[in-house]
Amino acid sequence: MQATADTVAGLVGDLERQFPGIKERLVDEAGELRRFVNVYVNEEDIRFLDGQKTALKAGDQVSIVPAIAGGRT
Amino acid sequence: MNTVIGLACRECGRAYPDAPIQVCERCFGPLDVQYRYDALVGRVTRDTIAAGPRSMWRYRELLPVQGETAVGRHVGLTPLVWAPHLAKALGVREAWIKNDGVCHPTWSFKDRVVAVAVAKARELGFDTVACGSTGNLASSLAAHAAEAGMAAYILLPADLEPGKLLGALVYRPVLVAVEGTYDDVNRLSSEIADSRPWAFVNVNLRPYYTEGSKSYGFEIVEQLGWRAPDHIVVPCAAGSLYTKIWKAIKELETLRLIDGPAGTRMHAAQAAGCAPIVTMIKSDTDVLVPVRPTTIAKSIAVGNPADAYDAYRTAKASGGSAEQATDEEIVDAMLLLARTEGIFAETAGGVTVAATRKLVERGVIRRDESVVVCITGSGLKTTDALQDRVAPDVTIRPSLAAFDRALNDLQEASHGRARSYPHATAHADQGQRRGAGDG
Repeated sequence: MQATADTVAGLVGDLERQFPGIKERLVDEAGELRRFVNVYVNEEDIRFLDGQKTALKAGDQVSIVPAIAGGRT
Repeated sequence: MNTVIGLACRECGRAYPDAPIQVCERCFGPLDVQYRYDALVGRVTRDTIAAGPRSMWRYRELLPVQGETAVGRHVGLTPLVWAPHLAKALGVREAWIKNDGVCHPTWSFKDRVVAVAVAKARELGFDTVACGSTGNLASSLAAHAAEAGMAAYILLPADLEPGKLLGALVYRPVLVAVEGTYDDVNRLSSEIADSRPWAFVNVNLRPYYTEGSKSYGFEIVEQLGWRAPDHIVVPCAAGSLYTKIWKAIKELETLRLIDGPAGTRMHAAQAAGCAPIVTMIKSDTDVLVPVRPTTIAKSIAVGNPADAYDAYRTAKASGGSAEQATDEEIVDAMLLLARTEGIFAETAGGVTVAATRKLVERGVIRRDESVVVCITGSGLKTTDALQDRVAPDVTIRPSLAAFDRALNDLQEASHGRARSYPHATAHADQGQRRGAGDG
């Protein structure tokens, strides 16, 4: 899907305009990403970038992935 | 009897049916299998378990699989080894090794989770299984898929140890090497699982798959004579085994199968180069800060552990702690375990032994207490880690004279210095031995 925003936080806002109700599933009352939601910009975890303030430009690919999948041990 | 009620979100509690659902659709939280414990009290007893198969399936009422299992029937019930020499080296009264390095069929505890996941995949009608892995899971899934006659797709980090790659390829899955870390593999797995009709064992079957780890905990308690130890030290990657051993103890408590109070304290062990869970526990925060792993303990190099939050809660609930080990400490501890107890663990086992030593030194594990050290995979899987630390003492021509001379030289070289019989010492490696000439 396509969305337009300057930052990840803005992207969540734009998704909410397109799909009302999605925002509260992604972020909590304080606006923080929920514990089990991971966001990647061009395959990089935004916690290694600038969190929800991570800047976006046209053509960036953003993945929203549940934190659940795990591995060894 | 069907003992499974369904699934429920660990975070918000929303209930789901017994089906391959990846996460809670409301809050993305992980899902847990719900059992009819009330119907199991008094029905699952020490006697019924003892009369069961000599495998993890003796606990089948507490595993989320219906009917007879067609594959993985011999998985589990690995030795719990009394380890007096290691105990002495570590400075504790009572140490035990739970050794899944000899788990059938692929020499790691992953056989437990895979046995459950593949059985569940068949039960749910899948013909294809898949996983993202740091190696041990890949090998186990490929083996069980071969046994089950199912197709297997496996994603691995491209820089994995050659032995681990081979350990999966031998069973002929479709193996995709991914240029990236395990965390990259994991994210990709989640995205693939959404678009393919596969049983992705550590994604959409994860609620069932992880339940297999409980059998490791059930066995510890049963093998100790239905007693829970004072301490259990567990290597953590995603953190699931750690949380499930604790869950196993609580379930046995619920079923009134444990003698006395189960006061076990659960301790997490990670490599210093990838210790996000240890960091959370030691700094007492429930917020995970992911890391980029740099450690020889690749099987547990998960920088963004799925069960970090639950691992933190397990430490809090059990009064447990955590420790980390550097690469050098990992290798030293692998050698210590091998030379005190004759058990060759993979690098993750070195992490656990090294962490146990630190927990004793810190006084977290008191010297008069009992500890179970969890070994989750065989040392033959990670021989690369020891290449620089072991070598033949001497090379000779095939003559008796050369042998006698070499042995004499070796004895002179070791004169005055305790050759490392580490039962008497707390240190694993007394330094490189020099080879004598063969004349």
